[in-house]
Amino acid sequence: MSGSSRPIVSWRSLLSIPSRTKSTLTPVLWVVVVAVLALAPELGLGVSPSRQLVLICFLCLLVSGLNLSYGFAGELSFASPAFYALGSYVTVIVTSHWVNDVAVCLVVGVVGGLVLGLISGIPGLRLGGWMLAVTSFFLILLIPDVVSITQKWTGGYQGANGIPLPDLFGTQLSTNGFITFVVIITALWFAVFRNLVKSRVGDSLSVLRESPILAGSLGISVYRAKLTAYAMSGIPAAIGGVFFAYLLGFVAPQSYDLTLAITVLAGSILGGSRSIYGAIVGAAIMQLGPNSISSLGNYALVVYGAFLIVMAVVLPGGAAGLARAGAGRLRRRLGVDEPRSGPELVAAEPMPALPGQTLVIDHVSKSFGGNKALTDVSFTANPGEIVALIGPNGSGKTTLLNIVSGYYKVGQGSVQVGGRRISGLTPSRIANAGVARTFQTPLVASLTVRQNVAVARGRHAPVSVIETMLRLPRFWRAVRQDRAAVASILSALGLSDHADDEAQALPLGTRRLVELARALASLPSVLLLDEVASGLDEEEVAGLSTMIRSVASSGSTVVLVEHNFNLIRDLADRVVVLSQGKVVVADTPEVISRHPEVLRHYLGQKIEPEPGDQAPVPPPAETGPQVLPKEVRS
Amino acid sequence: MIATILLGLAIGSIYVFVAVGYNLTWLTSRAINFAQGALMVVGIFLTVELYDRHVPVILIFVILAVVGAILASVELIVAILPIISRGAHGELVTTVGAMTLIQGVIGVLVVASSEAVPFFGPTGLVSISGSSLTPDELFLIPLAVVVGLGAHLWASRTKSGLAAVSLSEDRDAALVLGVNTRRFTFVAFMVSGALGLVVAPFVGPETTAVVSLATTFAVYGFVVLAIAGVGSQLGAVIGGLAIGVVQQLVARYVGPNWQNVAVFAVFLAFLMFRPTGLFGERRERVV
Repeated sequence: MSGSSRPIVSWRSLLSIPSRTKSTLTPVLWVVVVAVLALAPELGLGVSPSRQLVLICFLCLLVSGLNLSYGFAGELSFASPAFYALGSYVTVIVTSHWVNDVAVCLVVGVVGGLVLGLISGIPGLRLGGWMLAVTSFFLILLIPDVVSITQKWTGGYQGANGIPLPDLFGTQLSTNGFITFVVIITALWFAVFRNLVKSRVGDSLSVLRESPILAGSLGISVYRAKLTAYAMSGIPAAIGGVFFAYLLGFVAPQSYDLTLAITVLAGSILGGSRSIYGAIVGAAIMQLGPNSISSLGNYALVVYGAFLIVMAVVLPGGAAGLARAGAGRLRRRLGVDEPRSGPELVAAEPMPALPGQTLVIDHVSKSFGGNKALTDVSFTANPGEIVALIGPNGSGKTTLLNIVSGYYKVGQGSVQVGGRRISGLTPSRIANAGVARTFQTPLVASLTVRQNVAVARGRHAPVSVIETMLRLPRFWRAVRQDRAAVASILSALGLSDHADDEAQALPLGTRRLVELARALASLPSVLLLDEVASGLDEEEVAGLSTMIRSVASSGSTVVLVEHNFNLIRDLADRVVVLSQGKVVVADTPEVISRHPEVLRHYLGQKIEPEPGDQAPVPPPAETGPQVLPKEVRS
Repeated sequence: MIATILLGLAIGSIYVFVAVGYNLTWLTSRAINFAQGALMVVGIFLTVELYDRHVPVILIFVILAVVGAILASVELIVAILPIISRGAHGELVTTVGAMTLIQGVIGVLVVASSEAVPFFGPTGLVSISGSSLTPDELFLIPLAVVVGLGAHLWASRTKSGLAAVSLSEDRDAALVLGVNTRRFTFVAFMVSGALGLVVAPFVGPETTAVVSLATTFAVYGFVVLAIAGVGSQLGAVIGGLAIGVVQQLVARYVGPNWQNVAVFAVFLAFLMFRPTGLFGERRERVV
């Protein structure tokens, strides 16, 4: 081993290029590659390869659109041919009735793509699951019919002839000029696509893809985010369609069929759906491979179909997944990533001031079918106060938290935060009203700790999709604010060392802290903690309780579901005891710990009346069927 | 008008078969099998082939059932079971792959792109209140009602049907209670595959044998599910017949180019205003 230490050192340094160097190197490389490709025909690339280059660009655009909707937002769509056809027919109509300018066609095509995305996405995404796949699949069937209905403008089944050579701002583009233009626009779209994915917007998509429930609790509207991603996926496809019409000079509905949708899907899966540049790899392989083999003929569908099954089963991450896994293995082999120790809970930074609001649970009842989960539950939690909810399993604690978060609708009664009724709102609206929470089983997305925490800041530093895509000043301002805010919270929770670690790979206790950090990053008015201490060791529990106390003293309202009575005694200002969905008693921990019913029902202790005990002792007959001591029976 | 409605009911019956097949696999494995329509097309082409070889009708039905069960099982083993546990509806991709593959194979094996399919039963026209129908149309409608109601009664009245429904609602709980989930999944796929092919001798004369029908059947079957509510067999009968009627009325009185557009509009309207369908239930999310 020691003899080979030299080359390993050089490998290490290669793999851990400082991120600053990387971040300037990549764009430069990207610009060089694009410039070479754009000028390739001028530099002597033949006619046939040049045509392949353009066709690859078209397929890249289509596949990247699908990656946005399927890979990143998790919604499979077959709409590519429809968007593509839309771009082409926009070109037919604009050039024959208005003006021959490729820029005008692109603008109209992009707007049309967005509109079509909204028209099919608004209903298609309502139900979730696979309805968008079906809705978008239907769009393919509609193409010939719609073209035929609008024959006057589109030329019907026979197709539309006579699309002129493209003009750009009044001057005609040469063949080579057109290729250059296509490559540049494709590259620009990829830059915009990359900007969108590598941002809080992209991280939010990861969250909602992995857990819609978590997304809701972070104030991300799953429906709106998916709709945005899906509608945006129409943009590159429509751009490709405009170019395609100009390239062929002739448009007919037969070009936009199921085979095209399958080709795009195969390209997406081949390159890796959850990848930016994988789209280029997948598109290039599909274009240079199956699409160019004319002898495939009848067998094309056989090949594509078999290919889809095999790829999805054997290699779900595609080429990008393979590359990532390979790089990860190499890094581990060479010891670039060294495991770190657990976090040290030291409040290095003071908690930011939190805008606490009063939480009012007002006569809430809830039943599932015939099961009464909660009956007439009322209590109030004030800013700066820690209220613990205790009770045996099935007593309704988590149900109550889920009602406050909006996962369940209240049966009767209402929930108010700061005097405003929140029951009946969606989880994301409730989160945006200032309610943050953690979960019994920690939910973290497959992102770094820093990203996981920053995702919760959407409410405080909002950045629109357009600002994100174009990297406008507001985006950078939000990035700076996120960095600072997240750094201070991570440091307060002792998580700074883990900031760039993959959150899902962390041990349970640390993941609970990441959840807490994320909840704090939203600067909650009301913080709901569901068994936040379970699975933690004694030291971690001690640190956690310090943390929770400082959250409350920073002004937030804290509601804690917990089984660890010592922690409750240590932390809570008031304790609400639930049993079978009803409030048994609500009082200070001291009173509760001596309350006979609590002792009997919850803590499972025998009641040994102490001399001078104030609490009334209920008759033992209430405990149900009496069991006689063994010796008496025998 | 009445003739158009009857024709619509006959065409709608085909969509009922597809939707019932979707529901069977959905109820037992939460998997949506895009290839259900393609299986029916296999049945139609196979029927033509078997007629050409003068195979007795009874035997044709047996062959169709066996081939359907085998095809669906192979699809389940190769394309669905390996990925179903990964969640995220990966089976959408693989079953669309299966649908494409089946279409491709038929395209390679069959010379003519479209073939007329004779009906094995009585020929000639039947006159009902002044409008005439073919006998196969008269068979299709009651067959769809029987198949749909049978599936409905199975799911709501029999022990195995109830077990299947419990499987779709909570797979883990059903496992704990001793329901053999894997066997149920297999049986459901085999039954849905057999059903898809067995109805072909009735469907074929109505549609003729065309490869691209696979996608039309697939999509229309989904429209039926959206109207019915996923998992509801009773709804599938009503939704399927209704869609057939809407389609034929629009084709007759507005224009054939408008039938897909009209059905799409109905589909979107249901998704927008009644996303759980006529018989679907809205369930609450659990953390």
